[in-house]
This record gives sequence, C-alpha cells and structure tokens, in this order.
Amino acid sequence: MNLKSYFPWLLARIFVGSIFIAAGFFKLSDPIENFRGMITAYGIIPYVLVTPISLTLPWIELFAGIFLIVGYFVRWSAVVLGLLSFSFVILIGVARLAGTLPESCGCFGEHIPMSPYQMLVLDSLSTLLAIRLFQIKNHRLCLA
Amino acid sequence: MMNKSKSLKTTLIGAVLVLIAVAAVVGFRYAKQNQKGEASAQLASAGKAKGPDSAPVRIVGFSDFQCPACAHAGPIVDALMAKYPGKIQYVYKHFPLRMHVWAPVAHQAAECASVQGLFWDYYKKLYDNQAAWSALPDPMVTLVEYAKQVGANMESFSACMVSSEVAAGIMAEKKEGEDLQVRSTPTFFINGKMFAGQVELQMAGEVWIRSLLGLPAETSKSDALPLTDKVVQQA
Repeated sequence: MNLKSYFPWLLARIFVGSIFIAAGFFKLSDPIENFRGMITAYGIIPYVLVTPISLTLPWIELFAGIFLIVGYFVRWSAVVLGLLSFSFVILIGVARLAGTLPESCGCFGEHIPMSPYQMLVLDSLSTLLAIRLFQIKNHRLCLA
Repeated sequence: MMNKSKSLKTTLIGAVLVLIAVAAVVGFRYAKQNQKGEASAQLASAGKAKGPDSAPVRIVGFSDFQCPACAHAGPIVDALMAKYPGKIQYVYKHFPLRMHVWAPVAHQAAECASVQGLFWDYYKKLYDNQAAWSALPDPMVTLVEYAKQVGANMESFSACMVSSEVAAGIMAEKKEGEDLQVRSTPTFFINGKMFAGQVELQMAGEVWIRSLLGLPAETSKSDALPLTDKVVQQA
C-alpha cells in the first residue's frame, strides 16, 4: 500500500486514537472516584471489578491511543482499542436492556458530556475501524 | 546483533512514549490543583443541613434536582442517618448540571424555600415528583404550586425567585463543587473523602463511615444488604 492509498487509514488511526487518548486523559485528570462513580452508574458491572477497572482502563485507553497514532505496534493497539470499543457497545446495550443506562456515558469523565446513545454510535464506528486497522498488515508512518 | 539492537530501540521508543504520557497526566493534574478559584457569593448552609452539628461524620452532597440518580441517593442518605442516629450530619449543596434545562429554576425554588426554613419539605417535593415536573414544557407553575403546598410565604418566595443574588449563590456552590473536582451528581464528601454516585455512597461510603466511627466491618448477611433494600424491607 503506497502512502497515498494509506492516507484514509492514517486518518482512521488518528480518529480512533484521539477518541481513546481523550477518554483516558480526561478520566486520569480527575480524581479516580469520579470514574468509579460512572462505572457503578451502569449498575451491571460486578462491584468487585470496579477498583481494577478504574485503576487500569484509563491508562490502557491513553497508551493504546497514543501507540495507534504514532504507529507503535499499530495492529496490536488496534486490537486493544477494538476490544475496548466492542465491550463498551456491549455494556451500553446490556445496561439499556437492564434499564440501568445512566444519563451521561461518562466516557470522557464528564468533560465532554455525551449520551450513551451517542457513544454507542462512536464505539460501533471505532470497532469497525479497529478491525480494519488490524487487517492491514503493512502500516505506513510507524515508529515500530 | 541487529535484532537485539532493533528490539532495544523498540523498547526505548515505548518507554519514551509511556513517560511522555505519564508526565502529561501528572502535569495536567498538578496544574488543575493550583487553579482553584474563589466563590463569589455564599448561601446560608444551615437550612440545608440535617443532623447534629456535633456529629462525628459530615456528609456534604453535591446534587441536582433534575438528576434521577440524585433522587435515588436521598433514601440512601436517610437510611444511613437512621442506621447511625446522631452520628451523621448531611449538608446539601447545589450542583445544577448543564444538561438539565430546568435544574437552575428548581434549585432557585429550593433555595427560596430554604430561606423560609422549608428546604427539606421542598427537597422531598422535588425529588418525589421529579419525573412529573422535569418533563413539563415549563415547570414554573408547578414549582410555585409545590411552594404553596409546603406552606411557603408566597410573596417572599416570588420575590426570591427573581433574585440574581440567590442565583449567583447557587452557582457559587456549584463552583465550590467544581473546585473539589465534582463532575457528576450526586457526589458526596464524607469527612472530606469523595464518593461519586449513589452506589459508591451505599457501598464504599458506608465502609468509610464505619471506619470513621471506629466500628468493625459488617460481616453478617443481613447487614451486608444494600441500604436501599433495607429501606424497602422496612417500608
């Protein structure tokens, strides 16, 4: 794939990566208690998982987002972000069925208020793009 | 040799990226901590407090009258106060969210009831009927009706409802919460420790309260029930 034909996928890397960098950064810039509150607001995640998720998820989002944009293990970063996006789609769907969907998704730590439905669209798109980014074997403009 | 050098380079790049990200997060958090502003107006908080001033546990709750989760948090606070009588003081703080179009006027109405010593009656009216008034195209008439129902002096209430000083006081309380990095409602501070959301208040919050009171952790099955379930069982 030459650079010109790769350009749309570079944009896809920047798009997906930016979403997760923002999501991770905003969560990390606030006290962890805010993110714990958002996790529990969905009402379907076992309480025992709240602490490990709140401690690790924002860092995974931030690192994988940066790695995807700068081209550091692009395919594996895409796998991580694709799995995260897909798990968020499942989370929103299950919470909707359980009737416990919160008003705000909390994805960006309340800095960018988005409804779970808006986030559902964004996560679905991210999942599809991440799958395609994983399928591409020879990425351009990569650090490693 | 070549492979080893490449592997070292890859590791170094990863380490540098991680370090830059961590430094950005730490730097941003540090900068935010030093940006706290000063509240421009103050509301009397006495009318929005329940429980003794001498209580060893003080819960300060930043809440929004149009927020459904906040309506669920009220019974949890009441259950905690009933479970630890005389040990808890609860202070309500205004935190109207931008996403709730009628929150500012509802908070102003509650503050105007508070001036007349009727805050908790009005608070109950607003949360008990939240689904009804928040869905109205304009809830003003309903909010005035609630004030009548709780026995407010309507002349004072009406004058208060147009007071810019009261509105500024409400926003000052919200600013106080923002300075404490409150981002969502309800958010509670129990003797200064933050708990966001009603589930956290119920789970981690009660554990913290028990430790503040020097009580052992609950172990029996009935004690471990969520507080709201206990309230339902008691009802």
